[in-house]
Amino acid sequence: MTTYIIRRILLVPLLLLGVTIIIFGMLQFLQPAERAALYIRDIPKNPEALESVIRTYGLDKPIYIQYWNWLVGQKNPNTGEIHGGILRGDFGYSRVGAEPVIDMIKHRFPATLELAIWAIIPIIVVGVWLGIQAAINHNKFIDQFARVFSIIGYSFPAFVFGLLVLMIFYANLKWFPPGRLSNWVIAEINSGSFKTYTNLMTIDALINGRLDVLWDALRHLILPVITLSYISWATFLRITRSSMLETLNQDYMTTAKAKGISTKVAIKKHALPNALIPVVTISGFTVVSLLGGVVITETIFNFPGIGSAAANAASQLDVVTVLGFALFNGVILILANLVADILYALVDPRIRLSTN
Amino acid sequence: MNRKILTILSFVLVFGMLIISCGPKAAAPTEASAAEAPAAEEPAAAAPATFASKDPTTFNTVTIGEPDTLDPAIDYETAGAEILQNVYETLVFYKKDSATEFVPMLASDWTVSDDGLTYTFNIRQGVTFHNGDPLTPSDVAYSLQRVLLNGNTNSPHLLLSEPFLGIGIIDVSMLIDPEGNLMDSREGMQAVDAAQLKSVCEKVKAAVVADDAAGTVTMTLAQPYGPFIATLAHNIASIVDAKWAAEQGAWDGSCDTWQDYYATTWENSPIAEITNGTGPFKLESWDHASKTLTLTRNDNYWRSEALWDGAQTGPAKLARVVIQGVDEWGTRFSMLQAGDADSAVVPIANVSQVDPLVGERVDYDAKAGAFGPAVATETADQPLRLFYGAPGLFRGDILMTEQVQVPEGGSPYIGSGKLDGKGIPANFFLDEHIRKAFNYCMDWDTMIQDFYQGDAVRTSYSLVLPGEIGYNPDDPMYAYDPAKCEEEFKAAELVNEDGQGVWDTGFYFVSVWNSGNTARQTALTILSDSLKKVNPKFQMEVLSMPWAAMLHYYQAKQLPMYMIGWQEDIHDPHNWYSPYLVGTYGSNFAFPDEVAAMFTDYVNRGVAASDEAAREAVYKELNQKVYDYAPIINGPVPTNRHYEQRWVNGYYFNPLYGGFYYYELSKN
Repeated sequence: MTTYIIRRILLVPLLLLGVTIIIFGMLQFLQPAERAALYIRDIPKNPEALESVIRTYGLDKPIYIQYWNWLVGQKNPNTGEIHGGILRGDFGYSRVGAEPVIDMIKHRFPATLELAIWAIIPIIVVGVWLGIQAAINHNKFIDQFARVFSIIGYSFPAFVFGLLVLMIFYANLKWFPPGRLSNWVIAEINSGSFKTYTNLMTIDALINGRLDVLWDALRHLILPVITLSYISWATFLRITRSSMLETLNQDYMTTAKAKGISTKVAIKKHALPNALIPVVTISGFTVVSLLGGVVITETIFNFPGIGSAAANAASQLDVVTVLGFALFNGVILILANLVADILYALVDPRIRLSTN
Repeated sequence: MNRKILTILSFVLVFGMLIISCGPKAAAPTEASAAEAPAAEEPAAAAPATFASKDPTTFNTVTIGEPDTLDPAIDYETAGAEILQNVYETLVFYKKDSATEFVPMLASDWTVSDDGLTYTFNIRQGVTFHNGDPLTPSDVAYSLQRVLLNGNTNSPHLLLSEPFLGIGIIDVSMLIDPEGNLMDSREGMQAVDAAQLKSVCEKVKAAVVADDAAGTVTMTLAQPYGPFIATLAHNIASIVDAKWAAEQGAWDGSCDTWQDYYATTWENSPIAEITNGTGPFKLESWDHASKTLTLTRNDNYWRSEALWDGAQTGPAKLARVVIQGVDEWGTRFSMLQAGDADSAVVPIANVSQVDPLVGERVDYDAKAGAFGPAVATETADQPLRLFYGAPGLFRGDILMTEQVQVPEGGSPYIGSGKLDGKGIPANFFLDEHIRKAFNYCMDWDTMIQDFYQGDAVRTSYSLVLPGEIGYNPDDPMYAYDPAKCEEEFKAAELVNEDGQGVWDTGFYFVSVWNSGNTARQTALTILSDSLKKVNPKFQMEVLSMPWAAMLHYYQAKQLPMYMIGWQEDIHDPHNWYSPYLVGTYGSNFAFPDEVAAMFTDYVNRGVAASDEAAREAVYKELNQKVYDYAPIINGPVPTNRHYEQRWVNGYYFNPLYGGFYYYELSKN
C-alpha cells in the first residue's frame, strides 16, 4: 500500500513536467509580442520598443532557454526585477482580467471551489442512491422512473436547464437570484464590516457568525448546484446501477444469501463496497471538471468562477490567460487523480495487493 | 408489457412535472388577459405609476462587460465612460439631451478671442474633489496637459491633441519625430535629448495656462477649431485632482519627467481602478470577478443652481448605483423580470421577448427632435417602460482594403490572389467600379427589416450623420440595384493576364465580422447572397473572427473586406471625416497617396474653417468626392431602445452619454 502511494506520488513531478512542456509548446505558436505578456503587463505597439522587450526577456533565444526562463522567470537587466516564472507563481499578465493571471485565479477559484464542494455532495449522494435503488428494484417502477428522470437531465443541455430553472425560481418566484452574493453583502465586504478569511462565502459567514450572509450565499448557490446535479446524476446512476447489478449477480452474493444473511446486510456488506469502485473513478473526474470551472453554468448564473473567466479570455484571444488557466487545470487534474488513485487503493484491496 | 407501461408512465410523469414547473411563466399572460378589456380602448396617457421598487435608493444597471479603465486620459469605451461621467466632471457639459448645446459645469463661464484661438475659462469656486481637496485652475490645466503629454494612440487623446498641437499632430511625440516613429514608445521617448523633451512639454504647458489667483485657465489653440467646446465636454477632458494623481504615481506635473509617464496604457495607469473626481457619485468598489462597479452618492456635491430647466440640484437622489456586467442574455432578462434590474441592455434580437413586459411607451418624434408623452400600451399593467426610436450616433459600415498586404505564403482571405475565379488580386478594391458595384449590390433595406426590425434608418452617402454640419438629406446614396451592380462590375477596369474582367472570371474572397456581432454577420451574408444572385461566379465567404484577431488583421491590411462600426465622440462632422478618411480607419484603407492627400486636405480645411458656413462649403465638396470615390459601403443608423422599470424617474436620452447620467435619475 505504502509503496503504491509513494509510486503514485513520485509520478506527479513527471506528469507536471509533461504538462508544462505541452503548455509551453502551445505558447510557441504565439508571436513573440504576444508571449511578452508572460513577463510584462503592457506590451508596446511600437516595433522598436517591442524589439527591446523581446530581447530583454529572451523571447528570441533557443527554445530550451525560453522554457527555463518561463519556469524560473527572467531578470530585467535595467531594473533588476525578476519577471515571469511559473514556479514563482507568475503565469503572466491577463489582458482580459487586467491583472496577473495568478491573481485572476486567486480571485475566482474560491467561487469555483465553493460551487464544486456544494455540488459534489448531491451529485454523488443522490446519484449513487438512485443507482442503488434502481439496481435493487431492477425493472420495477422505481428503476424505470429513476432512469427516465436522470436520462432527461443528462440529455438536457446545461444552458437549457439552467435558463429554465432561472426563469422559474428567479424571474417568476424570485427565490434564488443569480450571481454569488447580493449587493448588500458585497457592500458589507467592501466596507469591512464583514471579514473574509477563506473567500468561501458559506464558510466565512459561519466564521463571522452571520446566518443572514450564509443564507444569502446559499440562495445564490442553490440553482447552479441543482443544474450541475441534475445534468450529472444520470452518469452516477447508470454506473452505480450497472456495477451494482453485476455485483448482485455474483456467486458470492448467492452464497451470502444462502448462508442466511438478510438481503439488506448482504447488499451493504458485500455488494456495495465492490460496486462503488467505478464510482470513485467517476467521482474523481467529476471533481476535476467542477474545479476546472463549469463554463455554461457559471455564465448562466453569473457566477464569478474560473470557468466563465477562461471562456471570456478565450473569446478575446487572450492566449496567455487561457494557457495559464490550462496549466492550473492540469495541476488540479494531476492532484485529483493522485487522490483518486489513493482512494482506489483504499476501497479496492486488489489494487494495493497487486502492486505490492 | 408491464415494463413498457411503466416506462411510458414515467415519461408522462417527468414531462408532466416539467410542464407544471413551467407553469408560473405561463401565468403572466393569463394575468394580462384580465386586462384585455381596457386594451380595446385608445391608448391613453399613462396612469400615475403605481410601481414601487423594493429599494428606491439603489439603482441597478445590468449591462455587458466591464470598463477597460477609469483613467479619463485613456478610457475609450462606453462602459468606462459611464463611470467617468458620473464620477468626474468636465468644464462644460451637454445641455440635457442635446448633443450640440452646452452648459457650464466646472467652468462658470468663458470667453473666446475674435480670432478663435484663445479661450479663457473662469473656474467655478467652492468645488471640492471627493477626497476634500479644493478644485483649482491648476487642476484643470494639469488634467488637460496630462492628456496631451500622455499620448497613447488607443486613447481618445487625439480629440485634444489636434486643437492644441495642430491638425495632423495625432500624438505629442510627433512634435519630436513628425514621422510618428516614436509613437507609443516610452523607451524611445526616454532616449530623446532632455532639452528637446523639455521644450515639447513647455509648449504643451503654454497652451493651457492656469492662473490660480484670478481663478482662470487660458487655452491657446494651434488653429481655430470648430468643435473645441464640444471636445471639452468629452470624458477625455475630465478634471482630475493634480495633487492626488501625483500621489498615486501618475505624472507629477514636471517637465523633467514627463517622458517617464508617456504612453501610459490602461493596464499600467495608477489611476485605472481608483477615482477622485468632483462628480455627484464616488466610486466605492470595482469587483472584477463579479464585474460589478458600485457608486455611492457624493453628499458634498457642489451644484446649487440647476444647469437647465428642471435639472437636479444638491446631492443626487439615488444613494447608490450598482452596475453589473452580466453577459448572458437569459440572466439579464430574468433580472429584469424579477425587478432586480432597473434597466438592462437588451440586444435587438431579444426585443420581442421584452416587449410583452412593456406597460408604457415613450416614442421619439423625429420632427420635433424630442420624445413625445408617455403612453400606456395594450398591456398597461406590465412593469417596464420603453423609450423608443431616438436615433443613435453610431453606424456600422462595410470597409474595403484597396491594397491588401499578402504575407509570405499567400493569404487565405484573397484565395489564389489572382483574378481567376478562385481569388482576387491584392488591389481588387482599388477599382472604383468594383467598389461601386458592391455598394449597389448591398440590400440594406432587407437588413433594416429583418435584422433591425425596422429600428434603423438609412442616411445619404456623406459620411456624417443627420443634424451635423455638412449633412444634406438630398445628397445621393447607393440604393440596392442589381442592374447597376452588374453594370459597374462589367465596367470594372481590372483584368487578368488573359484580358478577362471580373464579370467573366468571377471572384472568391473572405469577408470578416467579429464573433458575437450578429448585425455584422447578417449584413455580410446579405451582401454575399445578392452578389451570388447577380453572378453565380461571385463567391464571397463570410467568416467570423474574435474581435482581437479581426483588429490585428485589418490593421495589418490583410483583410480585403470587413465590417466595423463607429460611435461618435463628439457630435461634429470632423469626428466622422477624420477617422474615416485619415485616421483610425482611413489609414487602413490603403488609399493611393494622391487620394489620401486629397481627403486629408479637405478634412483639415473643414475643421479649421472659422465659421459654420465656411465649414459647410468645404464639406459639401468633400461629400461629393466621397460619393464619387465610394470608399465604403455605408450602413444604416440604428435607432435606440431603452427599457427601464416603471418606478424609474428622470430618464432622458443623450446619444453622447456613455450609459446613464445617474444624477438626474430617481426611483419610486
